[in-house]
Amino acid sequence: MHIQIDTLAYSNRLRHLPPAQKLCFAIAMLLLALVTHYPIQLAMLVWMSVWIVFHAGIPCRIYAAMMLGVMTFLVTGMPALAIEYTSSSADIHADAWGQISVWGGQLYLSRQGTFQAISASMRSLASTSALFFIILTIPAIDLASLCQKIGCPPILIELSLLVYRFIFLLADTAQKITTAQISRGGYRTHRLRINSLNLLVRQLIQRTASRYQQSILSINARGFNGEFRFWQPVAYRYSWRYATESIFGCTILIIGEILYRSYV
Amino acid sequence: MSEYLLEFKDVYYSYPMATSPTLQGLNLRLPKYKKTALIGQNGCGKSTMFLIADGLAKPDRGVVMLDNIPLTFDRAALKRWRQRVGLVFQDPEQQLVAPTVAADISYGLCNQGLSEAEVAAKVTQTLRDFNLEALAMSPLQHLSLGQKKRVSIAGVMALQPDLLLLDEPTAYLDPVQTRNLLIELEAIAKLGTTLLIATHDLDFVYQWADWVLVMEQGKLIAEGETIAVFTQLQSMPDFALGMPILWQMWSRLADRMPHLPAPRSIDEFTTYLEKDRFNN
Repeated sequence: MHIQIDTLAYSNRLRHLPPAQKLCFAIAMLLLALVTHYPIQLAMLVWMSVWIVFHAGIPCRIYAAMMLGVMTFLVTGMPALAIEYTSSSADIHADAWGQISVWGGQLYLSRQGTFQAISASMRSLASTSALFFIILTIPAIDLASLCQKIGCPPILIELSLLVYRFIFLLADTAQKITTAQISRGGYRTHRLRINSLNLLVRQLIQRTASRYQQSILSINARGFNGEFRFWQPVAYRYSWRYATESIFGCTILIIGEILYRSYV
Repeated sequence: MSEYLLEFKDVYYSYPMATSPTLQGLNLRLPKYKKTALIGQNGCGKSTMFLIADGLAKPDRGVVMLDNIPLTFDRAALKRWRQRVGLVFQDPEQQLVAPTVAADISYGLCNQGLSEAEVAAKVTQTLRDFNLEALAMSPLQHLSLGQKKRVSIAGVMALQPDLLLLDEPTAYLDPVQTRNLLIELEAIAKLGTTLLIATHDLDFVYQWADWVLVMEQGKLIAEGETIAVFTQLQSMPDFALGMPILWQMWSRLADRMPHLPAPRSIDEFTTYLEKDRFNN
């Protein structure tokens, strides 16, 4: 069972950079996204997209589809910020792009609200691009070992690694059952879809319980002593070129923000 | 020192809620350094025997011994026992617990309490032995079934057990993957590890095994050298698994050519036939 995002995290061109280097960069970008204004956030979005698509080699189609999902969510939230309603018409002219009379009041597109919506959306998009950079370039196991290094509780790391391992098994089982159901006419009509889904969930619960029993046997056979411990070879190459580019880019963004604040 | 590595003496085992015991007075001896196959129908108790042999199930009655040392179920004894007996399950998905190949191989070693340097050295060596170096950092969900099988065997062999138990190792594998697995098992046997394989694949057993154990309804019904056991099985009309194809071909010819020895491989068979034709 392949989950595309996970496959990309293991096969992207930045795979061999130390995860700490990538994570520090992404966190710096997240922090910048929080404190800067929207023109700088727009620049950040473009720059992170360059990192993801050109440096990491993530297919543009996949990255665009991911961003589109986020944008759809943001666009549906924008009217709530940009459109306002008032019963008095006196004080809206300075703030309104346009208005219509409804129910004895004015429904109008607010300038301030629009800027707020754009600002919030840009902040979200810039932060999301930094988050996607983490998801698409740092595999789960690398994130776990980083968490271990910074002193996260071992039980949390063990649990997340086990969940990570078994999520694929569960997804695989679900896919196999679904395929078997489709091949035998399941999901054809609305009623069949509900019945098949019901069967799928019940089967998944049963098989998860059975797999749990098997896993207990398996980990005991391999000498489980109450703690999940693994070792991983480290084969990362620190890149001065990428480090320089990221520091240089962040500096430019900070200077840009200072200039924006001093002129606007 | 006994010439037998593992012994079951009058072992009984019942699963909870089962109507009859799965093992019913099993007596079995496994010779050291031999490639042994355990055959029998589904439900005859092969997998249960494996679970008991690895200390994962406690027999209701009877004794299990490794090198004349009886199995006891206290924590320290089980730890020592499982260092010497490795079990590879039929489904590799059941066996693999870590996110990547190297991490999974390291799992058993970390459980032994070895230092990081020792674990690193053993994992590196195992990756090399099983030709898995290129996959070391690969996540397990990206591997093919044959590769997962190889990783599950590597994870157990990293512990350097004296006895390796493999439950249906050729299940789900295509002929190429089966051939590669056989090459790996041959290399493991050469290192001095005793191998015990539970399988239904009689063609595989006939060509691979030095020693064969046959189980039926929780008991051992035949044991011995491969040719001797199949000779014995031929005279049992009730034996449901049939006979290996090579054996069937040979036994049909043997009526007309009584001096023709039983071949263990196609190559051997053709050599015998050519020799026979030359002599005539």
